[in-house]
Amino acid sequence: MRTATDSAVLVREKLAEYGAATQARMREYLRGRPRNPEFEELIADYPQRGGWALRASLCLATARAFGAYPTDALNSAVAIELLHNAFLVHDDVEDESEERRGRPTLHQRHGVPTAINVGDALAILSLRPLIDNAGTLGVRLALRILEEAERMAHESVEGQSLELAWRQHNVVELREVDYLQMVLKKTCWYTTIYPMRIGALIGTRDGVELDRYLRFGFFVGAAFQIQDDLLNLLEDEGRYGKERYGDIWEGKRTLMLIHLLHAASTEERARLSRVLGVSRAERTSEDVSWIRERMEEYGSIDYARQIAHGLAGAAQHEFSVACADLPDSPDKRFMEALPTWVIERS
Amino acid sequence: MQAMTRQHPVEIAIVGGGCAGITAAFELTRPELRGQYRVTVYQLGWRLGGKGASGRGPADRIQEHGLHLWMGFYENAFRLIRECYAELKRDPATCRIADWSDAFVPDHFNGVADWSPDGRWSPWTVQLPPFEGLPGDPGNALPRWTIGDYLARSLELVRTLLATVQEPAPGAAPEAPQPPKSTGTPEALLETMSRLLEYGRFATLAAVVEALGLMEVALATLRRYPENLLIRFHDAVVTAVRGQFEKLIESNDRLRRVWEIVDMMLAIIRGALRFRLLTDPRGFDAIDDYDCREWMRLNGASERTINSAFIRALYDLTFAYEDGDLSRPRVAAGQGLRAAFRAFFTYRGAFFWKMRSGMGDVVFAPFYEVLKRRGVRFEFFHRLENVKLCDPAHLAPGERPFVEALEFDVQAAIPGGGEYQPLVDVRGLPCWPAAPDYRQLVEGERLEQEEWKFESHWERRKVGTRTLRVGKDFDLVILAVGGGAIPFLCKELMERDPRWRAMVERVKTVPTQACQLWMNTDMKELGWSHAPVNLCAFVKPFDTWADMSHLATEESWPRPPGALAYFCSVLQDVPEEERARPAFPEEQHERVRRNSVRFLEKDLAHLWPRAYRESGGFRWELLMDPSAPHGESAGEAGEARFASQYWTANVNPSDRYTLSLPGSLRARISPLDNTYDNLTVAGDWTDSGFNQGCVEAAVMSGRLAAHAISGAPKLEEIAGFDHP
Amino acid sequence: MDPRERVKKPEPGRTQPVRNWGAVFERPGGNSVPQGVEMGYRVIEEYLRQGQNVARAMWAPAVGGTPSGDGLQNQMGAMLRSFADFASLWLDLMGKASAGGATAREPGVTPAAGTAGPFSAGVAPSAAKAPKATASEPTEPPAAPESPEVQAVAPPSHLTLDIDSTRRTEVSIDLRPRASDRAFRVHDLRAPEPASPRIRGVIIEAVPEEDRVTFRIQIPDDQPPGLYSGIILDEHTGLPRGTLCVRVVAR
Repeated sequence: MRTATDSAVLVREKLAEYGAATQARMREYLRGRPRNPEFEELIADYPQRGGWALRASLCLATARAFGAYPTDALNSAVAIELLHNAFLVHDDVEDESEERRGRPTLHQRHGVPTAINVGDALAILSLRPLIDNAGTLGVRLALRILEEAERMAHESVEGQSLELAWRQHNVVELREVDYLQMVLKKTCWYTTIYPMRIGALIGTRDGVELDRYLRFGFFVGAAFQIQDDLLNLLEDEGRYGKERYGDIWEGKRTLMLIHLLHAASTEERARLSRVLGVSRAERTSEDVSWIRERMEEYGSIDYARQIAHGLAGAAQHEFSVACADLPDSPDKRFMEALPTWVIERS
Repeated sequence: MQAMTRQHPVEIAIVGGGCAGITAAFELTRPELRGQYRVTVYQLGWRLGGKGASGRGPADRIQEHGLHLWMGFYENAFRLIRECYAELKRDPATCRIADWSDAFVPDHFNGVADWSPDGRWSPWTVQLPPFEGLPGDPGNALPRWTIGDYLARSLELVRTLLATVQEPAPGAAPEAPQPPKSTGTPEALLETMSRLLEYGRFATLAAVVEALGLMEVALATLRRYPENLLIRFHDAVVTAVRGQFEKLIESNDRLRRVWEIVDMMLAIIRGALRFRLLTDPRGFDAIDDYDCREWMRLNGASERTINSAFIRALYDLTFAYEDGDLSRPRVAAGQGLRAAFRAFFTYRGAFFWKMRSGMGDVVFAPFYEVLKRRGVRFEFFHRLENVKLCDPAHLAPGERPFVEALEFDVQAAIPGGGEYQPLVDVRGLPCWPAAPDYRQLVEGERLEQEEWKFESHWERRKVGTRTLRVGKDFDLVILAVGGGAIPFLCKELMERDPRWRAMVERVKTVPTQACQLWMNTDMKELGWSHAPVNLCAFVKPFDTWADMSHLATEESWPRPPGALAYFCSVLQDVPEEERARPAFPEEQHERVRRNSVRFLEKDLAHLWPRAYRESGGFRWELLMDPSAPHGESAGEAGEARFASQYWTANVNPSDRYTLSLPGSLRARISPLDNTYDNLTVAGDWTDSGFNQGCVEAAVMSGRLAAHAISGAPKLEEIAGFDHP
Repeated sequence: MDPRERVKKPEPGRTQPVRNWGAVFERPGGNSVPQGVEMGYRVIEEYLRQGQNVARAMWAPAVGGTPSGDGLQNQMGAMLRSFADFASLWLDLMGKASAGGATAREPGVTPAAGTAGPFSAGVAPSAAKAPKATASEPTEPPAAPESPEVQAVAPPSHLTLDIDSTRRTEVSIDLRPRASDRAFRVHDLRAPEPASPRIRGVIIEAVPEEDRVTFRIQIPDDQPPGLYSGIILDEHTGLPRGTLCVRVVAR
C-alpha cells in the first residue's frame, strides 16, 4: 500500500528523470543548426530556465506504461516542451508579465518584437522532432502524431482566443463552466490530454482508442491549472516564478475571480468591472490588493481549492476507468499519482 | 436605484411604437413614478404597432400583417393590456370593446392537420388542463417550476395518454390521471426502481404506466439525481412502451398520434437526463446549440415522431425555417422546449386567445389613448436613420460610451407643428386607418398623389431631417425598432462593437406572407364541418389557417360575410443584393398574390371541398369584393376577383420575423446590458429571457428596458424571466 | 457634454435570468467539492458530444470575438496561426497515409451543428420508416453515425514488385485504392536527412480489370542507407492513396 508521501516522491523522481532526458535531447535541437548565435541564445532562454517538465514526463511515462522503449517518445516529449515554451514566451508578452521562473521575461529584456519572433521560432522548431519521428517510428506513426499535434494546436489556439476575448471585451458575465471550457481547450489539451494521447499512440503503435483518456486528461489538467492560479495568489514574491498576484494584475479570469464577480455586491462588482476594463498600466496596487482581499473575504480562494479537489477526485476515478487494463509499473503509478500531486504541490 | 438629484424629469426617447416600445412607455409613465420620466415615442408612418399594426380598409375591413394569436401563457402581455383597459375606462354603452374581456376571446388548440394513411387530411386535437385563473391575473402566480417539475408534468401527460390506449372508447373523456403512488423516501424510491430494473421487462402497458409514475415522482422530488440509474430505468421503460405500441399504430390513426406525443416526451425526458439539464445552471439554454428536432432524435425519438404533424405545427407557428427555406426547419432546442412547456403546461384560460378586432384596434389604440392621457408625446412620420455614438477620444476615464445623437428622416409635417391625430372612428371604436390622413399633412394632396409609401423601407422621400442630441432633446434612448432594421440604423455600433456585429450576423429574421379572405357563405357551406379552428402544419405555402369569422360584424359590410379566413406562413428569402432593388417590394407583393391564387386553386380543396366546382375550379364568386359588396355576380369574375381580397408580403426589414436559430441566442443583447450607458435595446430580437419571436418576448423586453432605467418593475415581477 | 451632468442608466444588479434556483451560486461555507465534480463532468460530456468539430477559424465565436485592430494581437494571432498552418501544410505535403484512416477513428458523436433534415410534410406515411431502435447507452454519446461512404476497397489481389538494386532492400507498401482509381504515381522517395539523395523514377503500373498493381523501383548503387518514403497518389485526382517506403540497408 503506497503512502501519500511515497507517491509524491515517485512523482518528483519521475519528473526529474524524464525532465532531464528531455532537456538533454532538447539541447540537441536548440543547438543543432548553424544559425545566428545570438538568436540561438534567445531561443534557448526559456527552455533552459527549467520547470516541472510535467508534459514531457506524462508523454514519456504513458508511452512506457504501454510498453514502449524509453526513447520512443523522446522526440515527441521534446516537441511538447518546445511548444510549451513558445506559448510561455507569447503569453508573457500578452499578459505584460514581468517575471518568468525567477528571471525577467524575454520581452522585458529584449522587447516585444523579438519576443514574438522567438516564440515563433520555438513553435516552428517544435515540429522538427516530430518530423524526425518518421525515421524512428515510421512514417505512418509520425503522421498520426503530427495529426494529433495539429488537433492540439487548434484547441489551444481556440482556448487562448476565448480568454483573450474575455479580457479584450472586459467580459464579466462568466460562469465556472465557461472557465472550465476554456481551460479544457487552452491548457488541458497541450498539458495533459495530448501528451497522454501521444504516449498511448506510440506505446501501442496506434492500437488503442485515444479518446479513452480525454476525461482523465481534462480533470487532471483542470485541477493543475486551478492550482497554478491558486499558487499565484498564495505564494510569496519570487518563489512562484512570477510577480506577486500577477494574475490579478493581468486581469486573468481565474475561477477565484469568477467566484468573486458573482459573490460581490453591486458596487463592488462595478468597481471590479472598472479595474478589469482598464489596461494593466492603469491598474494600481491598491486595486490589486483590494481584489485579493475581497477574494479572501468572500471565500473565493477556498471555493477554488475545493473545486480543484473535486476535479482531482474525478481524475482519479477516470484513471481507474480508462487504465484498468494497463499492467502495473512505476510509470502507471506515476500517472495514477498525478491527480493528488497536481493539487498538493506548492 | 440612483437618487434623483435633478429637478426636472429625465427625457426618454423611445424609437419604435411596437409592442416593446409601447410597453416601455407604459412602464416608465406609471403614476407611481410620479413623472420622473418624460417619454416621447418616435414612429415612422402613421400608425403604431410595428409588426402588430393593423388598419381599416374598404368596408372598414381589418387588414393585418398576419395572424396574431395570443397564447394563454403570455402573462406579461395580458397583465399590461388588462391594466391598460382598466385605466382606459371606456364606456360600454358607447363602445363595443370596453373591457379587456370584450377584446380577447378564449380559443382552444384544436387543429393540427394530419395526413392519414387513407389519403385524407384530418385535424386532431390535444387537450391539456389549464392553470387556474386568467392570464395576467395580478399577483404573479407563475409557480417556480424547475425542469424536473416540467418533466414530471410531461410524464403525467404520458401516463394519461397511455391510459386512453387501454380504454379505447372514442369520445370518452380521458380519466384524470391518478397521482402516482408515493413510495416514501427518495432512497426507497430509487430502491424500487433498481429492483424493477433487475426483474426485467415491463410486460404490460399497465406496468409501464406504473413505472412512469415512479419516474414522475423521482423527477418531481429528488434533489440529487442519480442520472445513470434514471436513464437506465427510463430506457427500459421506453423499450417496453415501444414494444407495446409498434404493433398497434400502423393501422390506427388515433394511436399513432398518441404515440408520437408519447415518443416525443420520452425523448425529451431522456435528453434532459443525459444532458444533465436538471442541475445545469443554464437550464434549457444549455442545449441551444442544437436544433430541437435533431436533439430529440439524438435522444431516441423516431423519424416518424420528429416528422409528426404536431411538431411540424410548432415549427410552422413560429416560422422556424432558416431563410424561409422550408427544407431547413431550425429552432434552438432549449428555447423550443421552454416555449412548448410554457405553452402547454402553464397556460391560463385557454391555449389561444383571439382578438375581436384588428390587433391595432385591440391593443395599440387603447395604449395610445392611455399614454396620451399620461402625457406621452408621439412623433409620427419620424423614421430613424442613424444612431450616432460619441467620439471615444472624448470619454472621461471610466466613462462608458454613449449615444450622442439620433438622426431622423421626417417623412411628413403637420401644419403649424401640431400633433398628428392618428385614430379614426369606426362606429364608436377608435381604430387605425389603412392609410394616413393626408388632410392633416402639409402638402397632403401631393403626397397622396405621388403615393408616398411611408411604411416602406424602399421609400426614401422625405420632407426634412431632424437630429436629436443628448442632453438637449433626450437623455436616454430605448431602441425598440424591429430586429431586421438594426443593420440599417446601427452602422456605427456595428463598426465599433464586435458584439453588435455578431448579433446582426447571428440573430436572423425571415419575411412572411399572409392573405385574408372574405366569403359570402359560411364555413359549413364551404365544406368545413368541424368547429372553428386554428389549423397548422398544412400544406405549403400557407400552412396556418385561422377561422376569423367572428370579425364579420366588426367590419362595416352592408351584408356581413359568412366567413373570414386568415392564412399565413413564412416566405422564402431572397439574396440580400436582390432585396435592395426598388422594384423588390412590388415583386414580392405580386409573388404572394400568385402564391395565394395557386393555394386557392389547388390546396384548399382538401379542407373546403364545397368551395370548388365539380370540374375542380375554385368558386371565385364566393369572395366578397368591398367595392361591389352586394351580389355575387357584381365585380370581377374568375381569378381576377382575388384582387379584391387582402394579402401582404412582409418584406420590410422591420417587419421580418425574428428567428431563434440554434447557436444564435447567445449573440443576443439584453435590455439590461449597460455597455452604452444611455442606450437600451428592446424587442423580441433581444435577450429577453424568452428568446422567441412573439408578443410576450417583446413585452418582457420592454419591461426589462424600463427596469434598466428606473428599477421598476422588479425583475422578479416579470413573469417567466427567472425560469428554466 | 460634461460627463458629470449627463444622465446615465444605473448599474444593473444582474443582467441574466436565474434559470436554476437549485444551482444558484450561494454556498455559504458549504462544500463545493461535489459541485466541482458535477461541473467538470458537464463540461467534458458536452465537449465529447460536440465531437471533433474543431473550427479552423482563429477566433472562437462564443463571445462574438473578432480580431481587434491592435497590431500586437494580430501578430500574436499570426504566430499561433502559423504553427497550426505549418502543421497543416506539412500534412498536406506529406499527404495523409491513408484517406479516411485517421479521421474515421473519431468517436461517433453527432456535432451540435447537425440538423434533422426537412419535414416529410404532406406525404402519405407509407413512406414513413419504422422507428429506430435506440442504443441503451446512458451516458455515452449516441451510436456512431454512418461513416462517410466507404469507397476504399481492399488492396489489389496481385502486387508485383520489380526491384533493381545491388543492395539489400526492404519495401513496404500501404495502398488503399478507390474503386474509381485507374492509375497511380509516386513522388520521389525521400529520406529524413535532407542531404540524402532521393530515389527517383519509381513507376507504378495498374491494371484495374485484373486487380493488379506493379511497382518498378530502381536503387542506385551508391544510394546511402536509410529509410526513403513517398506518397502514392491517384494520377487523375492527385489525392493520396497510400505510402511507399524503401529501406536501404547498410552493408
